[in-house]
Amino acid sequence: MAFEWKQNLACGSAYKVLEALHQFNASKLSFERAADVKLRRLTYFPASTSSEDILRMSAMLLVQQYAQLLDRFYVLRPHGAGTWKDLMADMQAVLEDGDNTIAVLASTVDEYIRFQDER
Amino acid sequence: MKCAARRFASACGPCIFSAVLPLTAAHAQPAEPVPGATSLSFHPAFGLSGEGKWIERFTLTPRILQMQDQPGSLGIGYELVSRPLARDLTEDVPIGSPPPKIRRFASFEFSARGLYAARAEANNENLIDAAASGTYELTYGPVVAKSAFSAAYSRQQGNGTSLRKWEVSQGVGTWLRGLRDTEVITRLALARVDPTHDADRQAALGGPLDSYRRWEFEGLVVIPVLKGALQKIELGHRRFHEIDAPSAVRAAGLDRFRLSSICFQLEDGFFIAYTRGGLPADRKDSQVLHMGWSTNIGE
Repeated sequence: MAFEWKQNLACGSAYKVLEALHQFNASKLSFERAADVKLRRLTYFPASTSSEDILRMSAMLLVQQYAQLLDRFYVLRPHGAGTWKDLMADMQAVLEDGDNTIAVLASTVDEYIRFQDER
Repeated sequence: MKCAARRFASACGPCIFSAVLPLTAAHAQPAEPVPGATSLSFHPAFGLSGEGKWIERFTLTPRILQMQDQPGSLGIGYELVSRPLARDLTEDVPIGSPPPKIRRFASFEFSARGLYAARAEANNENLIDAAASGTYELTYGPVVAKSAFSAAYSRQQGNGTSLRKWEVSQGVGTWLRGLRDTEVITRLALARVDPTHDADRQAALGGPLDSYRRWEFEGLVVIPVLKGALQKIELGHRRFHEIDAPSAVRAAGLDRFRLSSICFQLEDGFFIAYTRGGLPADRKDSQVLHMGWSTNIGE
């Protein structure tokens, strides 16, 4: 089933965690418009260097912070046998590609995590 | 079937070998084009190819080499490519427990290819082109470290001309949660540079170009602002410093380069940036104010 951007915890968590990590200005970017925003528009994505090493390290830092806040803000249960190791590796791959969108990041997290509003 | 490749592959894990049957003929692409020279390379109707646990591809291909106006030669081409070995060494913590504070990754890959000719003069390709690279990455809470190396070696048959390049680097970064999630990332590298084409350097030295070593540094500070139209400020600095540079290179100002930049990232890809300095690939020392808009086609 295709991932749908809507008012639920899977999408809301992506919006809230990224906002809390100062990745975008929430007063300028509504929840509805956030789905299609490319990750290169977020603050972690280097704008003044094309170094892959720098981008990789920046994405690694964001993955770590994202996971910590996700765990702090929400009650998390797994979808199947997925672990943090797999989830964080997939998030890393998503964050390293600036053409991915916030919705892609949210759907990646949703594949591993069953939020409280999901059966 | 006994061969070095099989011994190597069987030491590393199960492998599969097969014969390659197609007959092909092609113009070989010389490593360094020789004016007026044409190399015809025939791939006869047999050869060996294989793969294994650590090996993505291994091939041995007998070839008949024919240079224009020269006697031909028998040769054998080879290619060995390792599977990219990437290991996520992070502890497997189930979702529901707190996420791991420590993440670790290691990766390594290797490749070698080339052509051996019974008569060296007929070999218009390289005897060996080899490359290896590896990384080790560690995240510990708000700190990340990345160690990496890469090396490349190529050698021509007969005249012994070789080219060696390598680089070792260390990156360190931190996420400052209490400072509006400011990021500070640095990277320091020691590299051996083989300048095959560098007109400025050749003019300064007045002779052939030798390889040299240099330090390379890059630092980046990202400060999210998110006020009004201003998204973030990026401060960047890059520096290149040749080790034991010849006096002629120092006198020509080719031994040290630095570039500093400040970039104000605005909404929707607009930016204002100021850069000062030059890079080895763009040596003109200058001060430039950029105003622009960046996007990707399709965005």
